[in-house]
Amino acid sequence: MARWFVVVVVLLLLSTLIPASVMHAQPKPGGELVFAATEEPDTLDPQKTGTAITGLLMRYLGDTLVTKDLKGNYIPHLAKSWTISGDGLTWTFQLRSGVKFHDGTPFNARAVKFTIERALAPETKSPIAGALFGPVASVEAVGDLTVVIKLKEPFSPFLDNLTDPRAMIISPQAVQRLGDQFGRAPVGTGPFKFQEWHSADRIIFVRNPDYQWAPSYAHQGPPFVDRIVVRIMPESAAQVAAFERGELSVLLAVPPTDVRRLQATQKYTFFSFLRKGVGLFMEFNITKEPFSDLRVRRAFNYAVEKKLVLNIALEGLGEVAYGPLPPSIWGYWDGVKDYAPRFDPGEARRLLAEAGWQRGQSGFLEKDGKPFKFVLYIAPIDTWRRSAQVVQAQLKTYGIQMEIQTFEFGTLLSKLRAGEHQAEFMGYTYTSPDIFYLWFHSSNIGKGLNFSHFKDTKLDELIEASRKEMNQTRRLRIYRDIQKYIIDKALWVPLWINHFYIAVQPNVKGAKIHPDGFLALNDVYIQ
Amino acid sequence: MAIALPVRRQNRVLQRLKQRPVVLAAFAVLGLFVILAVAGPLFSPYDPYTLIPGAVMQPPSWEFPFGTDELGRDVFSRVIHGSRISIRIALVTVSIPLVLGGTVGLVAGFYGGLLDVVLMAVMEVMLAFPQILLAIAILAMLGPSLVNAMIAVGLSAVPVYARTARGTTLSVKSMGYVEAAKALGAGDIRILLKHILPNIFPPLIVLATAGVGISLLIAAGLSYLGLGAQPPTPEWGAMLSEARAYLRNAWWMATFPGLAITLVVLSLNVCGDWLRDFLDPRLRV
Repeated sequence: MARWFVVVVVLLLLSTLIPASVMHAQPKPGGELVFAATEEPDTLDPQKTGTAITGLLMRYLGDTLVTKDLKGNYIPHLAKSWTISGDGLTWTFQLRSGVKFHDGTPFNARAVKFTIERALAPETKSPIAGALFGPVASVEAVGDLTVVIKLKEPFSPFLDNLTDPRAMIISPQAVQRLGDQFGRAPVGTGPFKFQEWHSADRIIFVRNPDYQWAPSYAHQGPPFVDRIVVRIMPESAAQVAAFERGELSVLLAVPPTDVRRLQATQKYTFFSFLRKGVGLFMEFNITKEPFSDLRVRRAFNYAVEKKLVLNIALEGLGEVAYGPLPPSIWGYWDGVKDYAPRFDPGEARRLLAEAGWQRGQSGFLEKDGKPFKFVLYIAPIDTWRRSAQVVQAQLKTYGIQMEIQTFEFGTLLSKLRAGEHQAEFMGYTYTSPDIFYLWFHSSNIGKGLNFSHFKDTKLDELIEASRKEMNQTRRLRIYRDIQKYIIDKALWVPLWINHFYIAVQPNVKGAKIHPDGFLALNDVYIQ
Repeated sequence: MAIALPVRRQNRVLQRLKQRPVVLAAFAVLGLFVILAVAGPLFSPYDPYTLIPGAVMQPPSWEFPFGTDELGRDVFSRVIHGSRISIRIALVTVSIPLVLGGTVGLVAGFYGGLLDVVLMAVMEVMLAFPQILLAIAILAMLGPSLVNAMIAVGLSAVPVYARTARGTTLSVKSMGYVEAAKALGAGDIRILLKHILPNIFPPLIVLATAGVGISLLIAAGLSYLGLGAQPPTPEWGAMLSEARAYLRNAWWMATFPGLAITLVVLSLNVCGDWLRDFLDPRLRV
């Protein structure tokens, strides 16, 4: 009797010694994960979208041939392995077997061929996905699980582009069945399946119970949560309030003003990372006065005190930007900090005077009797508006009158493409230095993102060389030259690179941040 | 308006105002804002555009009575400066429909016939849209700015004024003195300007007084939507719009411009109501 009693007591004592975390470590399936999106997707067709939110959602709905692990290394996903020919022109992929689309049809080489050919077809009018596949000449399905992709010329960003969520493989049958409606009911192979989309309200994805092909950084098998609910909430203040009320499981973009307050509550798990892209820069339209003058553009680079802009607009939650690439993107040249102009009001004044701008009687700069006045186009983004007003106040001390004009984002983009602006505020997020092609190659004037309307043979040649160079060391050297050249030509005044903050409710466990700036949800469970 | 009245009536105005302390208070509030608008720089302790480093989002204090905003600007100075902008908005948004709507209504009512049908059909079409929607549509064509917002709000109010002017013109036109003037051989222009216009003015003035409140509200609404005043203009609606992102951190940024809008619009409505009663012959004792 006594011995039996001792055994029970020991067992009870032992059980209290096992930490609670271990007892609850077993992920529990079920529950839903709710987060908010500021903008509504234009479409959920990965090949027809131009919005960032669709790119994010496709991470959950689809899989790509290649992906990156949590350290940023390229790892197999829908492709088990791949080989590249010596000349860099032939890429052969061995596909994973046993993968099924959400509609039950099998994933195979024909689906890969269909996906890439559709993205490249002119009638798809793909804003981003088409460019990812760039110089693909042909896609061949050799048997069921082997794909051979031939390129017109070597294309060094290709492997990285294949990891982009917009390069996900889509179900050929679903596209044929749904036609134009595919963007309202997309079908992929990802851990979550599309369920419903109520415009201006919410989008719901449900768990894919057949998911057995997770990338190596996640657990094998279907995700734990039953549903993902994406609520469309344009107001960031409303998102913060909903998160604090517990209506949102995750706050994807904590506004800079709320970061310290939410951190101080010590209730939430925080993830933060440096944006993969320059958060804000002033870009000049070099075809318009007064920014056709290089001296004026350079003067602006010396005139603006970026640290002050960062401190007021972002409350210091970021880094000052010096060049067109952030340190968070491969290809960033470390020497940029010393190479780029630093805040130097004297040098700014000297350059402006050299360009013929003299203080007039009004106290403002004048040239040929005309005052230095220009309009800066911005989008209605809070941190942009704050930054614009700080820059405006700084430029005023030099006698420069800057007016701010706000446009809704879509309108702004079309005005920039048409070249109606003198200067604008812009920011970008991208995973590779091939952003240079999209932003600075002259073929992207008018239709792409070349808003400076800068047409320059030397820059074009450098960018083309960077895309063809397969040797990483030589490629890095070309990227360094491009960064130097863009700074020399002063096409931008780079301002800041923001830290992104993601806040997660205490009952949401297992969230992992991916180096490409999203939350991997495969292992997430609700406690 | 009251200044132009003869002494005997002026006394009666004061007498009747004394019976309505709320109206008196409303007039006082409006008077205060007009003084602030005219002599604003004398009262505002800071420049409304100057960023004060190190004083970002400070709560109200003796130094900053209404606190400071997200860029470290004094909210009190900005609200005072905003009253000047609001007066400008009020003047412009009321003058446009008064002149345009008045003319359309006058001409349509006086000449009648096909001209009347066409003019009023255009006005009816415009009336079919809610005023703010019409203003947004006009702004979409003109592009967002404070001046364009004022024009848009003014234009969108034209049909209401045109209808009122036309209705009054119709009733005045059949008056004995107009008939008499016609019989004496007076020309159209003379009859329109000398006999009809002075008589259709009172209802339009009442409409204008009541309408200023609505116009200010719509202009503020447009700025709130980012279609009106552009930063750093301290227009109240724009201030409110910028403050909404910081509601949880800095209540004062939204409260004071919001209070200013409320006070002015409420006062204008009270005064407009009173003026209508006052000028209505049926309610005159």
